[in-house]
Amino acid sequence: MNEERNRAEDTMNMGDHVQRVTPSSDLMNRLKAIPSQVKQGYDTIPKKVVWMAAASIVLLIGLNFVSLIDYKESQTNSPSTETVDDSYFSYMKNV
Amino acid sequence: MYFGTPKMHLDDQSFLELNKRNKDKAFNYLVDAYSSKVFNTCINLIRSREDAEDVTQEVFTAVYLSLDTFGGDSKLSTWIYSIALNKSKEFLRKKTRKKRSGMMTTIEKDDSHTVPTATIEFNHPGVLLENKERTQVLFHAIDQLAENQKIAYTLHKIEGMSYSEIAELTELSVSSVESLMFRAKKKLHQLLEDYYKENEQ
Repeated sequence: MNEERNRAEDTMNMGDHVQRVTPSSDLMNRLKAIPSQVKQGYDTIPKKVVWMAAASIVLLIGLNFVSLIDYKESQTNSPSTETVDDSYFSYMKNV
Repeated sequence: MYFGTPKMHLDDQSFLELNKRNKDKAFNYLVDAYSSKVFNTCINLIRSREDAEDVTQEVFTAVYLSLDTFGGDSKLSTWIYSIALNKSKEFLRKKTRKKRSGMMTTIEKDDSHTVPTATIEFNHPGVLLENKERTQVLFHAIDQLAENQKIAYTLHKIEGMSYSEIAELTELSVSSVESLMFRAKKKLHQLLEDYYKENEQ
């Protein structure tokens, strides 16, 4: 019983004998190259794609804006007594 | 103190100023100052040189990508080591999941008092050949501990961090770390005693 306890204690002390490891030069080179790799990653997205995405967003916002103005105009032109339900049912009758 | 002082030491305020002026230069300083300690933390948790190198690279990539957001709220060293700790934990969880799903885990018995023979392969270059067998048994026993006990034990007994440094890193109180360590030591002792008892028979 004591022997097993001693062996367990000896094994627990093995942690003290683990030596520090020096990073390899290959790893150091990989770490130093991170900034250029990250920048390269940004560069791999073609500028054309970035501009297309930006243009699409601007177009989307523009269309929303135009439809908002249209909607406001239609609201001011339509008779104020007509409710949404009325217009809906009259539309459905026509259909 | 484990967090220590690198060769060219900048205090956190000077580092922040350098980072504002030149991000790449600031990053190079971090690599020189912290790569060795980050690598050793990773290797002591992961225990394979190749995997620890990959995780160290992931840690520094994350550091580089979030350098702009580092405002000095926590200590620079604490910030870097907490990234290292999280990346290592993430790696170990993924690896354990993979092995479990691949039916590759060789656990001798489904019993809390056994030391698994091969949950994670052992390729630690910091272990001398004459100590390899017993260190392997120790590390396999450590793998049986709950994750927070395993991390606290490894950081304290193998990395040589103080309780207060571990508390800072893991965002726990010092008394919680003390209690984690107490339970970890007790469980480890029990696991190892049972292991040697079984192996004697």
